[in-house]
Amino acid sequence: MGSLSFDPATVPILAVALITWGGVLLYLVRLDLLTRRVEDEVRAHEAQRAELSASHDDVSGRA
Amino acid sequence: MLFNIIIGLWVSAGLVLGFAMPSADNLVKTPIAFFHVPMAVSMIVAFIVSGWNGARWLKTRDARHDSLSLAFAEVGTACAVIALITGSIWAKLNWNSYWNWDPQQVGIVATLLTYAAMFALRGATEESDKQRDLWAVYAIIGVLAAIFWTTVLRRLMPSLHPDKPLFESNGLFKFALWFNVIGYVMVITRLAQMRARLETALARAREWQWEV
Repeated sequence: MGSLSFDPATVPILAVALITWGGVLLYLVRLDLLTRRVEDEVRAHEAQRAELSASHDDVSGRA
Repeated sequence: MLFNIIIGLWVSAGLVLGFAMPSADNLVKTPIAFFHVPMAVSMIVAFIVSGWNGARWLKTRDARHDSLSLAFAEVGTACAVIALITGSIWAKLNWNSYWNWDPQQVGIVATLLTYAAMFALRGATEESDKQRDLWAVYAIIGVLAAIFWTTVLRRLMPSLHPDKPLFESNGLFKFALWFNVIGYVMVITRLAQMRARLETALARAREWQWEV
């Protein structure tokens, strides 16, 4: 069974891999925040529509 | 956000671990092993979850399951492309050729073609519920095809792919491999969830369009 060790030749590749993964992760977080914002806007729009619909029914009922 | 932080740290640790590992028996040492194999496993996991959500759509008629099924199929296809590319690089190191007509290589290309056909068929149907019903059936058949192409075919024919060195090597190898598999499965789950949430929001917006 071998032990853990770094080959000096692959350390720069590891650095590039970690930087690339960091970039991908930041983009993932940005997409996550964007998704939350879209969901919040959809929910707000639906609530507004439900409110408008209820007030419209109320006016129709009085008429 | 906490899940994103966990994913970030987990995958970073997995990368470092992959680069620090000694070589496996009968294989050229390369950190790609700890990216290629987890990608192939993540692909199968994504396709299984896609098929499962397809079946859930047929049972519950909840559009979220259809969105999840589609999202996991897309992410699984991306994993298949990455597994194919990294596998070719590793094949060059081990067997001196990027393409060896190995059953595993042929199988992953066949899986990609299967899912490409499924996406084309989904796109060819306009009506929403019919599209979702057909997709659910495709997703269930697709995962069976993917399992056949990537795990059964190599056992029916002689393959250059070693059966045991990675999964049944010493404890350190198994740990590094499964650590990376769990990390990338978390990444694809996060991606597919976001894709499905956006698809659900889009479906709601389309409903307003029809109401107006």
